[in-house]
Amino acid sequence: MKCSICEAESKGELCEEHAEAEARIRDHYTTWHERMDVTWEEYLRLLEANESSGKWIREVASYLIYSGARTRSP
Amino acid sequence: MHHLIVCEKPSAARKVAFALGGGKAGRVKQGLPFYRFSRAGDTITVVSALGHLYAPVQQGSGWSFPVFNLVWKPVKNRRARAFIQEISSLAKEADSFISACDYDTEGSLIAFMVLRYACHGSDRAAKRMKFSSLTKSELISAYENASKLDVPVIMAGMTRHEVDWIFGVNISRAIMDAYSCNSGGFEVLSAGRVQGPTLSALWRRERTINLHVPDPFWTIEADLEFEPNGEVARASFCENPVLSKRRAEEIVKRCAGIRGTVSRLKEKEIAIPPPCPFNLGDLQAEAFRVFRFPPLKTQKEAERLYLEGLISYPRTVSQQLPPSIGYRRILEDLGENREYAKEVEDILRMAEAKGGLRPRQGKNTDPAHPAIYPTGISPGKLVQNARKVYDLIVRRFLSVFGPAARKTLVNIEVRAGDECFKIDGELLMDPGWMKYYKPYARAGERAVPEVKEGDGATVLRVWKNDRFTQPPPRFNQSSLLRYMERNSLGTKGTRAEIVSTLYKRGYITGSNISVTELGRGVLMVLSRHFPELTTVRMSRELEKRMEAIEEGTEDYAEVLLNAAEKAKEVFEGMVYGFEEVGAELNTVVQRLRKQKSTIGSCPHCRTGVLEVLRSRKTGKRFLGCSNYGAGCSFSAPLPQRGTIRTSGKVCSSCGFPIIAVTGGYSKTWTICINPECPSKMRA
Repeated sequence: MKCSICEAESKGELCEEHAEAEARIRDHYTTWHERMDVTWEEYLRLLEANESSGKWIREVASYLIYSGARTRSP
Repeated sequence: MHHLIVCEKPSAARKVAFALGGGKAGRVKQGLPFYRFSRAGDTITVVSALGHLYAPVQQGSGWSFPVFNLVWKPVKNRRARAFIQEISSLAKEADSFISACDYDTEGSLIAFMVLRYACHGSDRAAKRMKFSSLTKSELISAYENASKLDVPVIMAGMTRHEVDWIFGVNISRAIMDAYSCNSGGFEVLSAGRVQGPTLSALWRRERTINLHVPDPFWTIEADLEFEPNGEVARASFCENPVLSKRRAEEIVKRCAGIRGTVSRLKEKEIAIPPPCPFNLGDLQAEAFRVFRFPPLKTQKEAERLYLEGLISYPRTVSQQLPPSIGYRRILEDLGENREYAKEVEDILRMAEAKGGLRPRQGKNTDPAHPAIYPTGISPGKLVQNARKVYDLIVRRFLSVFGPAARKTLVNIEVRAGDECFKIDGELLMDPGWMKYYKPYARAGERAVPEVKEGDGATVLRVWKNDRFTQPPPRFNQSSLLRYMERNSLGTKGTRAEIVSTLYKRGYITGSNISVTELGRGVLMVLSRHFPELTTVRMSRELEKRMEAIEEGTEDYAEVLLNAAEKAKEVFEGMVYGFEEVGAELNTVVQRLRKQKSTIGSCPHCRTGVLEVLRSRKTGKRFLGCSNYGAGCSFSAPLPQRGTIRTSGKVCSSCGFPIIAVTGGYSKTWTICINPECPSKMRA
């Protein structure tokens, strides 16, 4: 199977690195929600646009925004 | 008696010859930097190597791994072989041999190999000159006090080269072989026992950066106007950072325009001691901070200055200057130079008052050499980069004799309603040693308003700053060297070269270092199949054992055997994973080749990508769309010479991609791919 983002070999929809990035994005949502009272969608867009976000974080945020089926909040 | 003295480089040979022979030293032969003269009734011939004239190579022929049988042979360089031939011929006339190469493992090994092989086994009775600078007085003293050959240092140097050969050649062959068997092609791939852990550390940092999720926080600042003088100063909220956007907005709203009073004013005086004398690592770090010189460049400039006799031996870890170098003499000589005269006068006057010259000493020592110091010899004309490094070394040397600088730290607190703002300042009361280290010293002053407790203050403006947590910074060459030093990866002389090799192989890129796809691919292969080669542990253990050989507490043969056994274990594991390694490397290389040949989106169909292709009919290269099979026939001609890559830009006249073409002498020019671009028509 290939990663939906980078096409590297993967066991699931995402490769190891992008899967880890997704897990981190979900972990940090609580902090953002408490501090800025943002929705999940808003959070993803802010992460995607933030220059301090890591490269894989931005890629996964973008993927989660545009993949439609994956925009369920944690 | 006829003495043959072996030096490391032609410029060093010249220094030694003219120090010992005075103006009488003459060339032995045209075209070679060898000298002959008489001294106290003896004949002296000074010969020079060109760095290493011998290197370990595989014994016998064939290209396989693992291979452990090595021999030392002359390097494959015509000029080096000419040197060896001439030295060999001159050695037959001599009856005493002296090593006068730099006093470190590399220099000692260079001389040993020349003495053993080119001078027909004369290493057995050879002597050693030991010196830390190439000044006349030090060279004469070293000659007159020559001691026996430094065998433990030589063996340590030999062990390092042989261990590096065993690992380097075998790993590189293993991965190239695996790639070649899988793909049928050839690609230059290399790895080594120090490259692996270094690349691994870079990748770990890269990974942390790529996985960074920034968390939001806010800082609140205000401009306060103080009574009675009306001074305005910037203050920050005492409880920064604020972890709630709503709370930050409420504080800003509450504090706008309100009046407060100075509730506390604290002052604290601190002394800042002078810096330590430079070792190589500190010099490289400082030259990077001040001039943005990569570490290898600083090392090369320092080596040039050493060979000119202007500074002491630069490849040292010592941060200490022993009195035996002659502080006063060096300062007085430096004082002859107008640029340093005032500082030297000041330092000597202070020394009179304090009863002597006492430089600040650092913690690190080196058994072979002191910290880097200027010899006091006038530099004459130096090229710009050398002059910069020289000036930095001199001013650092001057500053270690200076008194502590004194600063006052000021902290002002202002209470406004329920909230609190503070101003932190630093005032330089006495520059101390900093005045000798100008312009490189960082005074770091921050002014504060002239106020006292009880003074009133009005909040003129207050605002919140949106901030996010940051990932750790990327390594640059200087911080990478410090990491390698802390983890005993490589030596003071080899670290900068190792980093340079990682760049040359294409494993890393940029001054803020990123690991390339190729570097990552090679590292993943090493991590999966040779994990020991990516950790610090094995390399650090080996380095410690090699240092112990130098100290005479470890045996060369045992350490080498142990390294060969470790290498054998690693390669036995490789046999099982051979096909997998080849397949992984093939995937990486193919992906990279595809990336390199991809220029950008097709301007015609918008969904395909433009690739560099070669016509089977004409052999010429051109750009074609990846959607050719799906009906897009877009193509564009390309220059037939030079390396082509995307510039990342599009043409402002027509919107087509712009390519960068790099020709001979690394000159790069850019061109729009559109043959009918309006910008070309205008010309």
